[in-house]
Amino acid sequence: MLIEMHNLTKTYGEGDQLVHATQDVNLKILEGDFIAVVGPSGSGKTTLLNLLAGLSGPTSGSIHHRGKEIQHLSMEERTAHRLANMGFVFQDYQLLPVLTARENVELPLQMRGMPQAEIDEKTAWALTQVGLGDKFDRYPRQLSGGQQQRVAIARAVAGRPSLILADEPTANLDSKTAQDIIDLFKKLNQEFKLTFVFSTHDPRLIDQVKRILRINDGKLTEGSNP
Amino acid sequence: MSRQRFLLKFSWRNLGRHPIRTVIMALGLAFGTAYIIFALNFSASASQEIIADFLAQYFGNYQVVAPKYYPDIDKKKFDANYTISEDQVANLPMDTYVRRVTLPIFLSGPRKTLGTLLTGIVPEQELRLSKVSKALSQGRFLTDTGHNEILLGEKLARKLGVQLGDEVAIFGQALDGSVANDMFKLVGLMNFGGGDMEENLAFTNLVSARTLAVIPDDRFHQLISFGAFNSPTPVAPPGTEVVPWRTILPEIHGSMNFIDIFTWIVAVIIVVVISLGMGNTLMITFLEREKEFHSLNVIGARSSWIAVSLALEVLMLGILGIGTGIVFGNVVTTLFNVYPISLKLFTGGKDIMMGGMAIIPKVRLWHHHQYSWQAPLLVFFFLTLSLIFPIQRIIQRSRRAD
Repeated sequence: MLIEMHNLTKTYGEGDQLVHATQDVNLKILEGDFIAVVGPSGSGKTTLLNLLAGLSGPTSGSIHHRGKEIQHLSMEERTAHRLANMGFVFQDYQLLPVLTARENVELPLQMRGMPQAEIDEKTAWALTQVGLGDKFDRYPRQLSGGQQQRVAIARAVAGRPSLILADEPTANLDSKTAQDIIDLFKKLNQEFKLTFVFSTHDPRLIDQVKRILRINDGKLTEGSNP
Repeated sequence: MSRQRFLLKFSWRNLGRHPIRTVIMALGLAFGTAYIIFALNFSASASQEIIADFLAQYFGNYQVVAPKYYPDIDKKKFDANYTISEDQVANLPMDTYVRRVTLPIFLSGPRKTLGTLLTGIVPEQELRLSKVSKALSQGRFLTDTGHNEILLGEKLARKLGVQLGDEVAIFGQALDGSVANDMFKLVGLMNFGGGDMEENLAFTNLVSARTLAVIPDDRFHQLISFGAFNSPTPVAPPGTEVVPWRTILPEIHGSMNFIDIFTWIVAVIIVVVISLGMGNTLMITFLEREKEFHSLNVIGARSSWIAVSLALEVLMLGILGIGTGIVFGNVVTTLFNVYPISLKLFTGGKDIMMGGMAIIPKVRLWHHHQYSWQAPLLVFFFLTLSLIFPIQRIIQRSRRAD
């Protein structure tokens, strides 16, 4: 079991202003899962991803990552936990403009204090897997949107994290590029058993996932592809 | 090691994100540092040169006197009954000293009788070491062998109603208790820039002064050093006391200290203004990159990593700006060492008066090497302070749970 959420509730405000962002969520994520979290805006998708990432803590309930309870960790400990165990892909890529593709991918590995030889090996592997083997030394401004998202994916997967969270990863891409990126996610999931959780509205991506989690008013239900 | 190198590279490249902003901040630091080095060097050099010139005119750097010559701690009064002998000071290197006898006397001319100070000097020594002879405006300077010749300040001569070649009567008290009185011939007039010294000083040679006051041939009141300014004072020979100029002229020393302190205060104000500007710019930089810092935190960057990267940016900016400022400040100081600054620029062409004497109009800037590290340290200290707010924001943000 990779992730286990038990009666996870997250509320904001108090009294009449109390909002249940998530309500008694029970969820198990297995190694190699390929999951889409879907729901209307404000339904709690982002809150769920933030709880998974440890970016925010639950009001009640528990969350375990490979058996380790993470809701009681301090923010700095959660940051360290994310660095060691998770990768992230953002809607707007969030690459550092002053670093090349190679250096952007290196960044979390450097922060982990890996030996340079291992960093070089993992970086080359990740950039090759995303199809940018010939663009190591390009800066983000020298890459297309799709290529930038590929660099972001390489950054997320280079450290072989146990969980990769992606927030609307295809929202900023044109149709063809979005499909290429979806195919890339699928390939990484199938070939390397990497676990992905997407927050998305993109039907093309939803069509490709193994599991669909529908969230509405903070309540989570398991769905499936037709 | 590679992690630190990566962090340095990241910070260095971040400086290049806004080249114009970086250049402006670096120039601000450079000009601030350069100005402070220049201002401190100017203040110290001006103080040093003004005092050195002032002391060279009459007072000297320090005096060797009998312990009771200055009876009070503040050295405002002297007692002419206490002299020292040649034997007592024989071990001092005599090539930078002048001997003097100083007597309170009454001078009587056709118009008035006035109390004043008669200084017995060795003309050869004064010509070689002090600038007393430079104040001669009319007539001639004293000679070692001239009998009862006297030099008077122009104002004093006018008040007495005497002119060159006239005789004045002197009377006072000799050291043996008898009445000292004799006639002296006015051979020269002194101009000290119109100050009080012109009303209060009269000079004769040491032989005449000794004869007048019945002082033995081997004794005198003061052995005055005209060596290098601020040269260390020697250990007082037995039976004597060494009195530095700071003790004799505490008000001048105090005013020079005040100028130095004031210069430092201005320097600190300038640095505070610069660092406020830097802090503001850093804050703008922080706000522009707040989303980026958040993303870094999401992918696993601890707040300390982000704070260190920001601090490294500021450190590199500081090295660039402050380093340039050190070079620039010293180059300007060297320039004004070669081409001294005329103080008359600041006084509307008038002489600067000090202690009743006009002093030199030009200041040559000297390198005071301590300022080349004190000024940068000051700038760097305040630059570091300007980081506090952005770093506090980063830490607060990372700790802000939920």
